[in-house]
Amino acid sequence: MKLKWIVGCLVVLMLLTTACGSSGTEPNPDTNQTEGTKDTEKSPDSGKEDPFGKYDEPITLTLGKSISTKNTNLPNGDTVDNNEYYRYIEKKLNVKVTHAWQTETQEAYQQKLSVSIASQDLPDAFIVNEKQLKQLVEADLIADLTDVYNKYSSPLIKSYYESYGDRVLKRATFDGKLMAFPGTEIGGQHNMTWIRQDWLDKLGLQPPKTLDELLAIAKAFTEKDPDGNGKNDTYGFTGLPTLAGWNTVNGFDPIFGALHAYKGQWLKDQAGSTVYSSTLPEMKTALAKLHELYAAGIIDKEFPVRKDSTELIAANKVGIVFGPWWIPYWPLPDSVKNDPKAEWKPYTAPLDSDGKFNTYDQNPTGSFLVVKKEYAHPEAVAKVLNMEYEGIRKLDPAAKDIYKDLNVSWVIWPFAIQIGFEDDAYRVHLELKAAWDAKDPSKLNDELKMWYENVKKNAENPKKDLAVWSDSMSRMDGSAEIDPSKLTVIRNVFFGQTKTMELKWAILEKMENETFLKIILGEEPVDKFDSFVQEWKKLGGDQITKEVEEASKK
Amino acid sequence: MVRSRTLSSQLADGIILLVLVIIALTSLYPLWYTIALSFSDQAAANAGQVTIWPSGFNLTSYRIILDDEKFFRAFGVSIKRVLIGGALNFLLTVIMAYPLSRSAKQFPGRNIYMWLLVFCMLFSGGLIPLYITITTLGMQNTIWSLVLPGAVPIFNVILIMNFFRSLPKELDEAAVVDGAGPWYSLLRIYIPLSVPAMATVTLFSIVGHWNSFFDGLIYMSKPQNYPLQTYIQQLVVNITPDLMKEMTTEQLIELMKASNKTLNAAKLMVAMIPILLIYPFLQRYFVHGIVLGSVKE
Repeated sequence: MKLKWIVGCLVVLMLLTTACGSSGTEPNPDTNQTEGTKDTEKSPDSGKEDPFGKYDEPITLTLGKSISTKNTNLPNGDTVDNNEYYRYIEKKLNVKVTHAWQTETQEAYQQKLSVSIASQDLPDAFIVNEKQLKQLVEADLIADLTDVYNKYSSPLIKSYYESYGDRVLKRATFDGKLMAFPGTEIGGQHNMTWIRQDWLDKLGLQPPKTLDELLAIAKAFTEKDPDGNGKNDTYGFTGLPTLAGWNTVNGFDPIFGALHAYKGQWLKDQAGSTVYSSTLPEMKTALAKLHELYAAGIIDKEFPVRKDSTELIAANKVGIVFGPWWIPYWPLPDSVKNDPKAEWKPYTAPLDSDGKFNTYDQNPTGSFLVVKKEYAHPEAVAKVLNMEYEGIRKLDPAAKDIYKDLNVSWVIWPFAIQIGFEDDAYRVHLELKAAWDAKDPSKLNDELKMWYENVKKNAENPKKDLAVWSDSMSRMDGSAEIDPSKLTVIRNVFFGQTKTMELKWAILEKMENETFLKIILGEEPVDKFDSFVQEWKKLGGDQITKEVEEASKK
Repeated sequence: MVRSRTLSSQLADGIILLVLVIIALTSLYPLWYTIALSFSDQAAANAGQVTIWPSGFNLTSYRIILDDEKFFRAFGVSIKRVLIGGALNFLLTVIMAYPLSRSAKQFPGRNIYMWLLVFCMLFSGGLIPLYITITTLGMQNTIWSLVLPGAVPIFNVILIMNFFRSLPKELDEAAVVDGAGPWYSLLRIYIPLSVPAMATVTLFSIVGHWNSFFDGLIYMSKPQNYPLQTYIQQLVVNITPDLMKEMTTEQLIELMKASNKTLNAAKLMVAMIPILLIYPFLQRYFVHGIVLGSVKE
């Protein structure tokens, strides 16, 4: 009886699975798609191999997009899927861009995209991460864009990609075929050292150059009551449970860098072989130093358990913050709001014994624009992207005045994927700085003009309007410190995941983070580091290092 | 009742009382904290200065909500969903439970239906097949994708079925003798006698419809069709280091501008109001209903 029941269940389950299998391969009932296919048959593409060529017959392009509909600044009832940019593209290319679906946040986008991929109900073009890209390539769901890129991408787009060498395009290339337009991460997002200038002045201290000077300041901030409230409630700085990494406010990267230690990077050692930076002896020295600081009470005692590491910054309990150039956008405004006396200043410090500020390069790409395999006009995606970037960079005179002076974000353009030169943030700063020094904003584009105005407003009335303060601090003071000549960048040999990593990396990473944290907290002796390295190698680290070495040679 | 009030028993009572008060306070505190947060100043909230009383009391968050057209549109979608979904649930539960509460002699196919129900309760087709079904049926972006997939709440059916069974058979037999058909005895005898159970399952389905957010996210392609909880779920984002690693700087700056602890707290409060209003009216049936339905004769 029982057996029968189980057999029955299995049969039903099998029926169910086969049913979904077949429905997945059936042509999709999505109307947009059928329209698109029909168009190919009757409309030969007149603008052959012209990156900006207009189609004779209107074609459609459906997107899945994560776009916030709040504070878009769009005028006259324009929406994120029906606005001047979309109409401009339709007018110029005869490509009608619509949204198959859209979400408010990146998180929701990921959920929705997972369902979309699993049910093979895909929009014509959409943006994925590296893992999803690999899945889609394996499942053969996305189009080969090699020819499209070679024939249809504009010189501008190509020049952006070429400025990275093959570091970006290689990541979207599988068996010699380009499967996506990768986004490019703009460089200069390393953590620098932000210090409360008013606290420095109060305690009569000089800005730091070396690590020892920085730590002396941190010690003074901890012990000498810099906020003058009579309570011993301040710290030098706080940290993150993961200790360091890109785009992480409060990561200890500058301290690591001064000691030539880097967390979680794949580097080449002096002998030329590939090594994982977290297992090198320099890391041990750095952890010992951090332990010393933690024991002395200079690092926030609660940092390993803090849910929101920026809380202490907003509460003005720390005088040093490790963060990228843009932290005046967040979380520093909260600090200034809670204490208008707060005067944050960025420093490229601490320097190592040779007077260099060491940092490592960031993953140059993380997002990928892909095209559904069945989409009849993959080259339309390249064309829209060409148009979009001519517009964003204000190179297309006809698109220059769309939404002039309205502060509409570039993400309103169809593809919210960032493509640019690696040092864009710094280039923009130089342009702004040059205009500011010459007191002549006339040559700037709209975005820069707005920043220029804000820098001016903030210079006249410092901190009166915090949004103005954010722009001014980030674009003038913060990004001045990402000058490539001030940095020594250690290059990774590899980004992404290898086969064994997929299986074992989560465990290794967890072990690494836990061990390092315990060493800093003093729950384990510093020498525990040596046994960690042994274990790390044994548990798959050696194998992964080999794979990374192979992958980096390709 | 005679009780000896010795010191030790008084002490024991005191300890029990103390423990209960502490438990009550720990349950209430998160709600109270949210209220306090919703009335606080943004920067103070980010600094973690809100504990028991709002810090920097202000009404900005609520003012923003009252101006937020999307919030009210989502609110409307949710109300519509609760009304249609709740009514459908109620109707289908009752007309399914009644035949199933008959014996196998009166309703020969009963056991087959019962097994089908139990099977569906234990096994589901999974998210992807469900999604494909809904889209193929063209229900995407309609209110039906939210109310039809769960239109027969099996757990509720079983609850009501057991409740019907627990009612004295003699009532039904007397009605039959007096010439009542099945519809008549359902409408005039069973339903009026099962108000507690009905109230309970109605509350279940209302709360269920009000709280679910995931179906809204996957079946609705535009945010303007989202029900309230989907809308709110998208706003309440925690900025974690992992999330930060995956995003570009521009996205991060956007997110940070949008992240707003006090506003989120206020939205949660407003979203809670309808359920808070319904609960007191249905609660007196609630415990009663569950216990009655669960025991067979």
